[in-house]
Order: sequence, then structure tokens, then C-alpha cells
Amino acid sequence: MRDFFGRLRTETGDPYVLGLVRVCVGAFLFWHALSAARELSALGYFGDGFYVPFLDALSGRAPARGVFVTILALRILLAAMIVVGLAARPALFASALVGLYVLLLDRLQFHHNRYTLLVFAFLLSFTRCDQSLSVAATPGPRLESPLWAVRLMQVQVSLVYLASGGSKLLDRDWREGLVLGDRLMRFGEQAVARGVPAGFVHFLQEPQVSSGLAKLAISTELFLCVALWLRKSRVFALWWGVMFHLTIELTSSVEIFTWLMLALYALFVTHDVRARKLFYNPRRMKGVALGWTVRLLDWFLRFDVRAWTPDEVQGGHSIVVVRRDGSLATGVRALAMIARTVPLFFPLWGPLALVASFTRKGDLHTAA
Amino acid sequence: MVDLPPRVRPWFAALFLGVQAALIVTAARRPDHAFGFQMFSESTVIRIRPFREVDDAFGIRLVPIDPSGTWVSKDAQGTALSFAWNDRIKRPELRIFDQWIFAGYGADAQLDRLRGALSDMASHLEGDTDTRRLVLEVDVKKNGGEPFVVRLESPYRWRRAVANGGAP
Repeated sequence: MRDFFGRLRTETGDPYVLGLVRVCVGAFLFWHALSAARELSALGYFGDGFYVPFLDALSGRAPARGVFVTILALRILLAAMIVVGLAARPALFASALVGLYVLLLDRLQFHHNRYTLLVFAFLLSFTRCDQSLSVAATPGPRLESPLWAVRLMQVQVSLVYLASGGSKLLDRDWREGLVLGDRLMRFGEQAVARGVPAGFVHFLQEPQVSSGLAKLAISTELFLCVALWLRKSRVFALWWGVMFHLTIELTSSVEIFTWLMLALYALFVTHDVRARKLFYNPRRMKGVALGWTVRLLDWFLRFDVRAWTPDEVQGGHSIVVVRRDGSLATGVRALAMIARTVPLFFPLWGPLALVASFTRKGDLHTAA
Repeated sequence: MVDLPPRVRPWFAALFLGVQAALIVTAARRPDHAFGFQMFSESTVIRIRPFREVDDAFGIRLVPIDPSGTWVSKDAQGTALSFAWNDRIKRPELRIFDQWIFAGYGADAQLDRLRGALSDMASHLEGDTDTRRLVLEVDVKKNGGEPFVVRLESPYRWRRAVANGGAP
């Protein structure tokens, strides 16, 4: 613990990935502000009717409608500034404070995901998230930046899982699967409408299955809060967490919570830019397609993507991946490597890694 | 944006995490478990049935309010006055009557909010000399269990004084 707090003073790293997280958080703040505007239009101004402030000091002190509309416009503007990277850090800080003020005004509008987003916007404002993907970024190589606020955000992710999993563990109805079972009964149709096979939903609704799922959900949250920190378990934890959140997204309505947590997973990615290489055969359609796909979707800049002139060794392959340690991979192993590092393909990493684990084929064992 | 000096960072982190821990530990004391990250804490549905308690020539009795949330009452001169629950209560989850609806943040949160809505509505019935108080009967089904009924009552707007039997 002392070591952790000690490292907060000195630890630095490449801030590239923080730019991505900033763009996502800005987009979520924008979405929330637009939703609030839609709500204002549909339901009217909350201050004109019954509302419940969190603090007695705010009781009866809702701003005038015009002021609230101005606040809303400000939230939209700040969110747009965050996305493009214009004074992004002050905009994040201001967004968090203004958002928290609105949340404290009326607890009827409180949602866990809204509060979670504001907490992370606040913490992100203390990082150098404006050094990449930003109109204000200074040209030239990025400078190493302090990581203390990133570490704090990672702890906050763990706290979210610990609080959520811990409260479920302490609740008998949750442990026995009654809560999850009832939710699956109520929202089963929604899952079917979103493409989950009806037979599978009915299977999940079986009491014994939902009881098992409840225990799995609790274990998952408690596992994630620890495993994300351990080097050996991190990739699996990230993959398992992605599956967990996508399942929640399919079966529940959680506003932007799924996408927020997935965006925050980027904070656990090892910050190494272009540490791997991907060579593709420009004479093969598959090679070109894979090369360009990775170029387009490699949002963490993990690969240095290049075409090669086919020779005797490489001529038989569409792509060859050179891993961080210099070893080579082709075939399913190369695909697993791409899935492991390219965010949109990451859900495929689990099955691909499993298939790859049954074969040595594709592992060239040749140092680059 | 100014970066925190290195020596301040651990203190800031400790303060921040301390506040978060305190909010999480105390979340159970709040009916909606706000700031505690307790997602999907319950699976509860409720059905709200609204009533007015009136005291007239027929005595003290409960008069059901139309599921649309509107009713007609009268003032001291006997003039008819229209009221609508929706005039004050905007949130859909607090103004859908006679239908089972999902209580997203659990029974305690929903009942607490309904209690507040009831008091707020009762205190905004200007001119209504008919309605003594408002009452909600709430059917609650928690985590797939057997339903039970919770009765919520607003504070009295007026009560007939027993000594003089006077009007409101």
C-alpha cells in the first residue's frame, strides 16, 4: 500500500491511450447532456414540480428554468470540447462539477452510471489526456506523463466492482439467484428482441440456472476487482469483463454503463506504442484486407503494420505477427494476437486463444 | 489545468479514496443506495393506487383517483376545481397508476420517492377544501416474492376540529 502511494509521486508513461478514453468519456457526457435536454422537452423542467435534492441546503433552490437551460447548453458545449480536445482537461473538470451539481439537485434523476461517469470525468481531468487525439495537442513526440491519476482511476474501477459484487454477496436474495431470476423473467423478452435466441433465454430463466448465474455474476465482479491488477490474469480478466458487460447490455437497460466500463478497460492496457509488427502479403487479398483492417482498427497503436515483399519463408502466409518479445506468429496464432490487441476484435480473443492453445502450428519460434 | 505537485498526489489520492469508501459503506443507509455503485440491487415491481381521503356528509372515506391521475374537488364556495397529479409529479415512475411497473432502484427507493411525491402534491392543492389528505396504496412484489401492500399517507391538509365540529 505504501509502495502504491509512493509510486503515485513519480510514475510516468505514454499518455496516448488516455486520449482515447477522453474521447469516449466526452461522447458519453454529450449523450447524457442530450438525454437531459430530451427529458426537459418531454417532461418539462423538474424545478417546476416535485423533486428531491440530496442536500437540505439545496431544498427549494433549483435554478430558474432559463438558468437550467443554460447549464444544459454548457454541458453540451463542454462535452464537445472534451471530444475534440479543446481545453479538454478544464472542460472535464467543469463537466464533472456541473454534472454533480445537477445530480445533487434532484435524486430522482440519479443513476449509478451517471454518477460513475462524473467520477471518472473528474479523475480524467487530472491526467494528460489532452496529449493525443486532440486539436490542442502539441506536434512532435508525446512526452512521458504522470500516471498517478490513471492509477486512481484503475482503483476506482476496482472499487465499482467491489461495491457492486460485495453488496450482492451480502444479499441473500442475490446469492440465491432470486433477484437475477426475476430480472431474467422480466427482461427476457427484451433480450430476445435484441437477438438473443429465445430458447437460450428460457434456459437462463430456469431457477437452477439463474441461481448459478447469480453466483457467477458475484464471483465475476469480485474476480475483476483483483484480477485486472495482476499481470498474469489481466488479459483474461479484461476479456471476461467484456463478455460480462456485453451480456448485461443485451439483457438490461443500463444507459451508457457498458460502454463506459469497456472504455475504462483501456486504462489497464499496457502503454506500449507500436511494440509489435504486422507484416502482410500485398499479393494476397486476405493479407491486404487484414493489413488494412488492423491499420484502421488498431486504436491503441499496438502494431507497426507493413507490407512485405514475399520471399521463401513468408511467401506461404498472408500475415506474420512479430510479438513484443520478437517471436513470430502466423495463422490462428497471429489472429489471436490481433484479437488480443485490437479493441473491436477483442471479444474473439477468448475462442481464438483457446483454439490456438491446441496447436503449435503458426508459432514460428524465430526471433525477428 | 495545473498538475498537482508530486508530494500532494498521495494525499489527494488518499482523500479521494477515503470519500469513495465512506460513500460506499454508507450507501445502505440511503433508500436508493446512491453513490454506492450497487447496480441491480433488487428486482421489484410495484402497482400504485391513488386515493383522496375526504370528510363530507357521508363521513370520512377514501375516494379512488382516476388512473389518469386527475380529479375534481371543490373549494370553500362549492366551486368545482380540477387537479392533476401530473401537474407536480413529472417522473413517469411516480405517475403511472394501476399498472405494474419496474422499480429500478428497489422498493425502498420507490416508496420513499412516492412518500415525498404524496406530501408535495398534498401541499399544492390550493383551494381544495374537500380533500383531507392523499393516500397511495402500493402493491409491491420484491424479487419474485409474494406481493404485499404498503399504504402511504400524506400529512393532513385539514382535520375537522372535534370540539366545535367546524368546517375546514
